[in-house]
Amino acid sequence: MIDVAIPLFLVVCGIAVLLVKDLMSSIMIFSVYSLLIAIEWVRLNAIDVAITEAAVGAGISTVLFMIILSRTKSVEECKKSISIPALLVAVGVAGVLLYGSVDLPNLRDPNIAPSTHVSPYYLENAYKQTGQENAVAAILASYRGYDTLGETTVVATAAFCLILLLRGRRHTNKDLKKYEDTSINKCTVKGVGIKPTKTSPPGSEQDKDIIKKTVTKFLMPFIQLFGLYVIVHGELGPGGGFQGGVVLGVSIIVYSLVFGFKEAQQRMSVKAKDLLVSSGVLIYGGIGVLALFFGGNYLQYNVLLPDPKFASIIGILGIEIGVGITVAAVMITLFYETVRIDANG
Amino acid sequence: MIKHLPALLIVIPLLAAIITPIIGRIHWVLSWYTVTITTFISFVISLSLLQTVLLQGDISYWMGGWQPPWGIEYAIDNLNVYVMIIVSFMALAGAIYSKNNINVEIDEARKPFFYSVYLLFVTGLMGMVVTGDIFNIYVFLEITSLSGYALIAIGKKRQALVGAYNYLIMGTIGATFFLLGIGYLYLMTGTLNIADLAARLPEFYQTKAIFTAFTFLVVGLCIKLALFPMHFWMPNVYTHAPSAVSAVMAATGAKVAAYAIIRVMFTVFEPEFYTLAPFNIQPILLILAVAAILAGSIMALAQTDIKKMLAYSSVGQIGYIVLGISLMSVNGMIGSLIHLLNHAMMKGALFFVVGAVVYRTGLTSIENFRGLGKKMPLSMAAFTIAALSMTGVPLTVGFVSKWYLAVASIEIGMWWLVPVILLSSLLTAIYFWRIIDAVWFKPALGEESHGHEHDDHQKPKSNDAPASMLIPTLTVAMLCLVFGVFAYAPVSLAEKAAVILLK
Repeated sequence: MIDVAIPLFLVVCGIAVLLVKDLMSSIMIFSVYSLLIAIEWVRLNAIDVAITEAAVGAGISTVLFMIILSRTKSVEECKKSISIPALLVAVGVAGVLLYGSVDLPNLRDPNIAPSTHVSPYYLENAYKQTGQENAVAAILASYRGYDTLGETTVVATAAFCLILLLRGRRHTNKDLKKYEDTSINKCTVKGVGIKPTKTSPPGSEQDKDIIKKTVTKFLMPFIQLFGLYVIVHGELGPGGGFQGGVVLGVSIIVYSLVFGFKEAQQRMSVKAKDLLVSSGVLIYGGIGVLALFFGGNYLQYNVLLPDPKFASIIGILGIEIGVGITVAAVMITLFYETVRIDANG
Repeated sequence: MIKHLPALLIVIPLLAAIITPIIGRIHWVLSWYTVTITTFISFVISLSLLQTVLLQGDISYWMGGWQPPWGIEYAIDNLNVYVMIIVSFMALAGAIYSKNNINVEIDEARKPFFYSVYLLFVTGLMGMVVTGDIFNIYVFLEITSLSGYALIAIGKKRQALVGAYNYLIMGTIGATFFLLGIGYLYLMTGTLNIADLAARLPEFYQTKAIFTAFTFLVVGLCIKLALFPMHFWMPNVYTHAPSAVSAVMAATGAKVAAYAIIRVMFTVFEPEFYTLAPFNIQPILLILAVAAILAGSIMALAQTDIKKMLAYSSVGQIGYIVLGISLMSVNGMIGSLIHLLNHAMMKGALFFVVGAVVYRTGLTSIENFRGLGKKMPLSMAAFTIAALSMTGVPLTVGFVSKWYLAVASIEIGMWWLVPVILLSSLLTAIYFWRIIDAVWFKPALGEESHGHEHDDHQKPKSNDAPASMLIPTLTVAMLCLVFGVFAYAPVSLAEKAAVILLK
């Protein structure tokens, strides 16, 4: 039942995102879409992916979209027309996908190739060879660790691209000053979308924010501790560098949303954050290079220490921390650099 | 460490790209040195790998020490070491060239990040070429795509943003198709290793799922390749991106996409697939290739902006590469592979020269090329050589690949392709002649009135591009001649690769 309902909801959400005129609603529907996909991942037993999707798709993207929206108009002005070629392409792709699905094997069948070819080897040997109780972590960090290095680099690339495009473009000190205390705080949801309200006198604002600020201050250590826990916990269960990194990044974003960009910068400066983006990947790649010096292949952790299993555990922990640092720093980059955009640009 | 060269080939530039923004904080020029030195190292490693492959056969390197198919494998053979050398060489030439050229496009503060993203772009391309794991191709495709979008978007004009946005949408669709294809392959075979896929696929050749997988993989890559009619994102991209970026992207990006298509079509799938598949694929590719060759040349003829003209000419040249693939014969494949090399050098040289002209005059209209032969003689000489090669004049590389394509067409009885190739060469000659005529035989704009005066004090001063731009330009242009005369070297390598692919 739910296996039919979720895909159906997904399609409905997809169409709704396109048809809704108010962009704020679009964003909300889009975040529902992400949550539904996250549920679908849980149904498919891909808990790690589900956590990431929920945190990134439903969480951070929504916040980023809202920030962008607060800088532009929230209602589409041009009349929506359906592009016939695009429609044809979409229908064609759907047709080909359906055509190809006719003789796909049933996912629940235990005898299909993905369950019988490489997976048994992983399940049998993951703990013996890598010391990871979570076979998914063993595959991600060790057997296919090089892909994960690539993915971490993709995340870092996104940050570099954003900095290249946004920083220094039409930025003067005056612009920066204008936006340095930007925070969602000052925006309220009004009917069709977010609009900046007039700044209220300092006293009343203080009163309004005191609950938010106190709660945030109180929650901050717990969020961050949870992030660290998720990074380290990858070895035993769902979690790992990507998910934990997102949680850590979110903690700074929440702080920045509540206390303002200026204050957040005092906690985590732009410079330090830039450095962290690079250092995470460097830790990951560096562990790989270290393995070369100990006589192993690239990213072969088990040569790092005399006891191969322990070396592997340490190596994987190291790269998970590297991934966590980069992902957290990139999340913060996405937020910082978008918030700093010149509204006129 | 010799054993680890396949890994170092990618890891060195990858980590260097990550460090570049930090080093660049001291002074931007350090980031330029990082890029130049690391691309040079990659080029040297590729040459050394070529030697290993030629002497000792194919290389298999196991990432993390895990045996494939459980781990990721770097599999290097005649084909990818050949593409590797092209990509790393053009990346190096582009890096040297960009040092001065990029001054007109971006300000100093952004240079460290520019070089970092540039290095990520070429690392992604090299990573796609060297790997023996199909999902790993996708990972590096993502790196190279993301950085590619940013490199285009930094172009000075606002249209650069529109071009980058269109490319972003199309590129994402292409990459998603590729990923969908991988998903279908995995569901049917349970493996991601290319060699293992090739071994396990034949029993599924007649299934609809595998045919769908094939379609998604090839269509996705064709979008990336900008094969007609999926090319419409490309002209704007090449026109508005910074010149150094256009040159490197035209010289390497499409080549790697073409390489990936060859890999998918002839290594992952084997020629037998094309006789068993539910649809006949060969004629579709052949028709698209012919359409690309003719449409690209005709549209190039209509352009007034030199960068746009070169972009449309790329559409036609990509048609040649796909034509050779679609013939599915050894000579056709040799033609394709040689054309990969040729087009990288010819288009690289042409875009380098255009970049130099922009650097000196700031203009890209064809009108503006009038009389440049006297002002920038060396650059224009390079342009002329590359243009001749593009037309396919004997003793240039362009002739070699067209020769192989024509021979292959006749061999398999498709003699009607020969007039197509000739017609397209004629069109190419026409659109390049306009420029060469303007460059060497017409006075510069605004100087006609002075034409009758005595030429002793009117002789225009030579004001050629700086050495950092001239050296890579002339080197690449000279290579068009060198490989045209001594075609044996690349042809023998391409022949080895082609024979293995079509076994």
